[in-house]
Amino acid sequence: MDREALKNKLIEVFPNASFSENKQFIILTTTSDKITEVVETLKNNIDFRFDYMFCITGEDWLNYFIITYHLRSTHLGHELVLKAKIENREKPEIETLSHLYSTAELNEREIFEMYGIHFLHHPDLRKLLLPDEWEGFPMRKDYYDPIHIVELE
Amino acid sequence: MKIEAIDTSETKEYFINMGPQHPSTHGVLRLLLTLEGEIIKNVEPHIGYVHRAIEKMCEKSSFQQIIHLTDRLDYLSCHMNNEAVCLAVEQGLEMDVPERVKVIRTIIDELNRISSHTLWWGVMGMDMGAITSFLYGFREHEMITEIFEETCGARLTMSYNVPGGLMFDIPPNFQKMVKDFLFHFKKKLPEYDTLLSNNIIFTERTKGIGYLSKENAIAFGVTGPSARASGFACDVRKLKPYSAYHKVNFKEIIFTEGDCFARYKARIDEMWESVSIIEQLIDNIPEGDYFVKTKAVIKLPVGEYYQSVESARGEFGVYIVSDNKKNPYRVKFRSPGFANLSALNKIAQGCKIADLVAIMSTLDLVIPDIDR
Amino acid sequence: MKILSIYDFSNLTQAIHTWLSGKMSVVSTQVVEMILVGTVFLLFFAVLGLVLVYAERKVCAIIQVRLGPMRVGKWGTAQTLADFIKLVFKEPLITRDADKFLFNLAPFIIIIASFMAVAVMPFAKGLQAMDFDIGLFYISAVSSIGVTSILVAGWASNSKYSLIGAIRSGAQILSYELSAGLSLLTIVILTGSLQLSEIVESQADGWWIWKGHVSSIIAFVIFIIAGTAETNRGPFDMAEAESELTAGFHTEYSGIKFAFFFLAEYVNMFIIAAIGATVFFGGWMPLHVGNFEAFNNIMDYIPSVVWFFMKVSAIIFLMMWFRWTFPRLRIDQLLTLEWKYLLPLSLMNILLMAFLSLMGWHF
Repeated sequence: MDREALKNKLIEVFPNASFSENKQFIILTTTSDKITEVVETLKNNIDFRFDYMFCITGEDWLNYFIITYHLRSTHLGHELVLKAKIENREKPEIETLSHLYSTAELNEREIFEMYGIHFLHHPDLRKLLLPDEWEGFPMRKDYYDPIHIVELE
Repeated sequence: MKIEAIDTSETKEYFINMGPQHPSTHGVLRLLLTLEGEIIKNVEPHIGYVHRAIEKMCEKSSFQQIIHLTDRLDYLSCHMNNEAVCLAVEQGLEMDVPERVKVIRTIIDELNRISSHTLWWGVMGMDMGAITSFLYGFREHEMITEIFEETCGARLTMSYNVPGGLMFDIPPNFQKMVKDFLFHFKKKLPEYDTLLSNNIIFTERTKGIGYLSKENAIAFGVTGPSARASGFACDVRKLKPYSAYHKVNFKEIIFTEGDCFARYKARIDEMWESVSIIEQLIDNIPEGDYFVKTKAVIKLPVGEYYQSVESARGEFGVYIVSDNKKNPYRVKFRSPGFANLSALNKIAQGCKIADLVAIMSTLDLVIPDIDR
Repeated sequence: MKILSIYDFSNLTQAIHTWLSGKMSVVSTQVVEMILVGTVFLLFFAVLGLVLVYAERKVCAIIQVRLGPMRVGKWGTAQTLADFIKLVFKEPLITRDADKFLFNLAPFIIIIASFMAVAVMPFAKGLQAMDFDIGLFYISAVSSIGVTSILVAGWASNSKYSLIGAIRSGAQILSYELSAGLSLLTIVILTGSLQLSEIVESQADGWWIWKGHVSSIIAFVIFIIAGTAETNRGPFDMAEAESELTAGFHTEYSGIKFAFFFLAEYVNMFIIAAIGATVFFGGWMPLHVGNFEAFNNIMDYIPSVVWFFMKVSAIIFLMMWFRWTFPRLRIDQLLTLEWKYLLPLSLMNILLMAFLSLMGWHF
């Protein structure tokens, strides 16, 4: 599906979601509580069929978190960036997508340990890369570690 | 004396740690195997032993510095990793690099792919117990490394790309060196088949072993030759051509068997395709500048830039979020090894320990790429 | 067919025996002779280990397009000696909770087993420590004691890698012992004797590999496969399988105890090659071709001990060639190969040989 058609279709299916665009992708932003239902639609709707999630990124924007999912449809060849905004910084939570995309399982574990975002109903939410006794969430922007991080000026 | 009856039909599972120091994990990967006799019930990868926080370091580095960090991800396809970052930055700066740069980048990409695959082939043989292949694979790997050394001074972590072009121009004897290598390599590749591919023990060990279905390959995000052996057409060079790939004719190697032998064969065939790509380009390197001048401090406009390239292991992606400062706000590397590893449990269940070794070598994991 | 008497070692051994008998009683003569033979074999073992390890490294280097050890001594000849010194001075580690007695015992069992097998080996005419009338049977029996050592080592190490390796090795050696034995029996049909000296003598007019033609060649192929498997060498090195089990049954061994296992592997390889050479290639018997008297006479001038070691080296080279060319089999494929292919084949081969021998269709 070409870009315009995809965009029109997306607006039709998600009338309340906010869209933006850059040169490469159409960006669909949603809130964290709607993520499962949005992704289910994106995956199962016959016009979208986003079956391949090739990148999952956590981002810390100081007063909220964003999780960015890059999706591609291997059948139809179109791509989409889905952003889930997590407002609650004190207790960040979002539903897991590991039942929809197996690749999400390890990626979500990584985001969990790096940003402290809890993925609800995740089958095995443990630290992945860091040692088990590690404290704090190192990829957060306010993380401070005078021993391991050397500030360069 | 009373002898207690022991129920011998009852079997018990046991655990075994494969790694972090183990000859066939190719680095510090630890696999927690749940075994029943020799049959694998579950594989749980424990990673992070070489986690160097490269993504965090990138947030503190300028865009030129990031390139040198990407070398340290998948050191066997360092040039592709460099290129991904450069392309992402060039995309942000809306810069068009000269044709000469594109062609040279493509040639080095393919040389890098061959060097990675030859090394993989050698190591694969060694994992299967044919140690001789290791030395044969390294022989060709070494020849390419020498070309790289002549070109940019570095043998492994090249950092030959810079945003806007290349660090140096190619040396005057570059074309001759590459042609000499190709001449030698085309004679040696059939030898690879003689030693391993046609060996009955090897085919018995790999055919029908470690099946990965296309659906699973897509769901786990497996890319590269490992996924193409399952029928998942995921070659970034075809899907989203970058550099000079739109100018060359090459075949995307796709098998449907999805077993270890298909993954093996996909890589062998890919080497032939790489040879053909280099042959198409090596005599047609356009004249011109080898770089476009950029500012000393690169600032990308606010926004996000994703660029993926086809590295030797699969789709390597760089996702840069910029807030118009000299450092990126967030950099994410979509490393192919990480996704390929996640499918290991699915593939290996029900196999034997010896099969696990075959599966791991056909997935071609590079641990620093997984741990980042 | 005359064998040149200058190369007959029985004169020498007989002279020593008479000299000793003249000096002391019968019992003490025997004790002294045993000690002498034991010392000679110990020295022989040491030299054999050094030479074979060096040879293996050089052969593998040639196959792998490289030079191999070159630094220690001329052409790296002193490399194995240097390695040996290193192994002797290394710390012998024992894993926690290991069964210390069995752990320490295991390396000795394997060395003793291979030591015993060498006892009946006819190295040259008259150079044989013991000449049993059941020599071949004795060798097959003794050489398979080594598997006990591997099982004990794997069990006592208290390491799962070792245990898996040991169990694999047990299954493997027990299975391949059958084929090895049956393929040797095939030749015994022709010789009519299990005595090694007689087997050699029976090949004075031609080696069994030629005289028994089809059936002998099949038997030899089966024997060399089974023999390689029995020595736990590649492509049948399942028990070690360094890419799967790090080092298999000797994962936890270090220093001199590891050196014992290492040495035993090479001695076992020598034993298998020696049996193969004796049974199929005429042992120390020179190469004789039909009625070419002149040729046969020239061949007679080569000492019998040289003939023996030439044949053994050729078979050892063959086994090294296997190891450095083939990938490793998987354990179930290994057992399938034995039970489904080699064992029926060797049974059929015995019948074939019996038939050939009955019809007199051999030479």
